[in-house]
Amino acid sequence: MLHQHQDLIESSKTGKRLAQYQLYNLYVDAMYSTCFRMLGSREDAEDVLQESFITAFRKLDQFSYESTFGAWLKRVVVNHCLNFLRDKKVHFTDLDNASIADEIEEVNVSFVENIEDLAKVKQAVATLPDCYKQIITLYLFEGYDHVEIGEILQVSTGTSKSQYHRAKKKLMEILKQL
Amino acid sequence: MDSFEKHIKKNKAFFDEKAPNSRKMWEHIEAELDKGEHSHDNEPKLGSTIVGMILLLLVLVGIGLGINHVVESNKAPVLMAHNASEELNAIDHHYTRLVGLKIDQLRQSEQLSDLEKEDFLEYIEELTNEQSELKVKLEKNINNEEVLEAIIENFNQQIKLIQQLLERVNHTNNIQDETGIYI
Repeated sequence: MLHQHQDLIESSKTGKRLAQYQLYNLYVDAMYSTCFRMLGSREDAEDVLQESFITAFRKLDQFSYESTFGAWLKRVVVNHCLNFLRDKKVHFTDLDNASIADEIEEVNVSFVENIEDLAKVKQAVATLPDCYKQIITLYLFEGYDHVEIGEILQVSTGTSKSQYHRAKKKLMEILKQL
Repeated sequence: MDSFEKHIKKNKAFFDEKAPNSRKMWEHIEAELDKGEHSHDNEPKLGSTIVGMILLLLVLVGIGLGINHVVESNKAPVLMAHNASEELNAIDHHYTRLVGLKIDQLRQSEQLSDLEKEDFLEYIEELTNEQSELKVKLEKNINNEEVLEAIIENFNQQIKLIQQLLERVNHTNNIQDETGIYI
């Protein structure tokens, strides 16, 4: 499982366009989802995704099967999204860690029971401020834990946790209004 | 992880999006990669020069030791495979561009609703997936003409289907019934 598509990856490393195209086709939708969730705009997602794949193919030699290819590629995509947001002056603000426990308790978990509610969550995430959207996307949808998010965003694990809970609280507030 | 998070993670697929212009994006990526490769060709680098000299030396030593006969005997099939691969890339590039153009025309059509377009493109996507499987087969044997023909046929099928739909839609919208409604 760890070495899925190894033939395609190795061929892509040698610059074989056909192999690169097949690899692209395998991952384009998943990576587009990540971009779209982080950036919230179809045009931005497409632009950033293109640049991400160009970087990935150019730096494919650096991929040495220490993780799955999907995980490696997603990291490239996420970094491109974050750079794009930084250029747009969206910053992951370093908040104090106060009252994390309170914030966790305040979260209402009774919302999501059916498809309609999932659609509301989707809508609510889309309306989150960019800095909250980043952390919600990374933790909730992309499956990174707070240690990994800390590495990606270059913040402490505690900051990642506190920011996540603030973002989740905000998400719940938006959900209540929908 | 609370029940909210568990539920979201369980239903993660609901939050996924399909890349709307994957072909167009690929064309851009491919163009950039081509550009990068060409610019590398034009930049003489110290490292590559040294490697080149070492390789040249090794080749000369090899000739001196009399292994050139072995090298020559292995050269023909390698060259053939290389040429076939280049040919395939050219075919793929040519047809991918043609299909992309047709898809763009379809997306721009005002006679079709977004839903109709997406439904149709989903079918085209299925053909593309079949083609990807064919290409994997071809990777294993670059000289398999049957698979190569199937790939080209698949491309032609995509172009033909889109063309037929566009013609049908344009034709349909030019015909009025007796009440003056376009049928």
